[in-house]
Amino acid sequence: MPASHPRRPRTTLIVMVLLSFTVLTIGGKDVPVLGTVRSSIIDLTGPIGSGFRSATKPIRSWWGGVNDYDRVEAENRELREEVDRLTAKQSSNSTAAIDLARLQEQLNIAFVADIPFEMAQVATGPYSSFDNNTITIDKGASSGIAVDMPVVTSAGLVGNILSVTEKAAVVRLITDPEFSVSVRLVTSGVIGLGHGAGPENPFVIDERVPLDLAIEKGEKIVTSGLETTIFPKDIPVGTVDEVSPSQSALTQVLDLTMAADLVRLDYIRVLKWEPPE
Amino acid sequence: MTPIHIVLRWAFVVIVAFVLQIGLVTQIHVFGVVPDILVVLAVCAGLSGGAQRGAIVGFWIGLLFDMPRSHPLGLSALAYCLVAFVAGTAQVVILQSGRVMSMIIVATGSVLGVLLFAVEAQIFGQETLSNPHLVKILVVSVLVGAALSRPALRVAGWADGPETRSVAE
Repeated sequence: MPASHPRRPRTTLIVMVLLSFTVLTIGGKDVPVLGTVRSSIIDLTGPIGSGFRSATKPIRSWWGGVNDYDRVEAENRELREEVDRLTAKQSSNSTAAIDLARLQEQLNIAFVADIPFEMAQVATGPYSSFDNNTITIDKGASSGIAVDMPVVTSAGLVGNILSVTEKAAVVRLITDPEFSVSVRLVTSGVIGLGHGAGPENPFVIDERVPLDLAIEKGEKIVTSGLETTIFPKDIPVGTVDEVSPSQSALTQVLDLTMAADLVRLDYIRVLKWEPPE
Repeated sequence: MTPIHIVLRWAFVVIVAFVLQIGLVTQIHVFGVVPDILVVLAVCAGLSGGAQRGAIVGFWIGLLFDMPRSHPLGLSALAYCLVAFVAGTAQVVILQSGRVMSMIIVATGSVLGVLLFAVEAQIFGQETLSNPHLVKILVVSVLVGAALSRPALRVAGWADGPETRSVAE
């Protein structure tokens, strides 16, 4: 396809740019054909991602060690301390046993005991560094998963379902700045409003926490379960790491260390919970 | 090679690259950043086949990459189409130049593609430009673009066929 006519490439570019704008315009309007194509591709990415995840597990472990040496070293220190405390427990090195242990861990979560749920596994991580507030899981509408359902691990809140296809679902993580949740301070019972602040940043509560309220570092924060929220009550969100007054000096701003480890997500639980009418 | 052969070859290359991106590359974080090999391929499509083909291939690569992601559909399509067109235009400049120049153009094109995507996404309400790791993402894009320029240009050259293969390869 040689560029024989000097104006042809420019015409092609204009056509492609117009096409892009058309897709951008109709993409947000739930056009059935486009939605079906998108859902099919998302459904396909699940098995592809899972296959590659299994196949590359040893390489990823090695690469993680090479690429992130400082963090791995710090983690090793913490793990050595934990090993001292857990000497009674023996662990198997096999991947299957580790996976089973992780699965069992997610099956015994006290704070959501009577809520129906669906276990799922993370299929693929973020596709690019601009997508790191979402993950794709290997269960979808065929397993009863619907948009807005809460997602948790045994440690606490992970996020909620952003979109669903037949066999996969996209989870919006609590790090997403657009994610907000009504929370309760366990000690005082005060209700606040928190939101994500981007990956690797603390979760922030910056509304409705009165200035005169004494808050200790380490204070536990859980979901409030108010009628207007889409989350059931008492799911751990995190612990207070830093307290400061807001810029308007009308409330306190709390930076949280999140309860769930979002870096090493594997098995998660989707709660089939709907807010009361 | 007939046009249909070229289309089939490019379809094969784009699908394989897409599978590698969502399956393999997402598992490999370089300094905490997920590399984008599809933008590299889009730039190489422009360098290898010229501005016109670059715009077409870049659009389809971007559109495919947009499908499983949660941002508005068409953002990558627009960014990759534009950056591949620019790379194709730059092809004329490097006609007499060597491999180093093509490597520089692929690296520059890759980082421009990523930056363009970030600007578009910000306009559409995503917090991409305010991403605290933006600089790191751009640096990794340069490195990945430079590192993959040779193999990506070879793949693009194969898809284009011997008649249209450019000097950049």
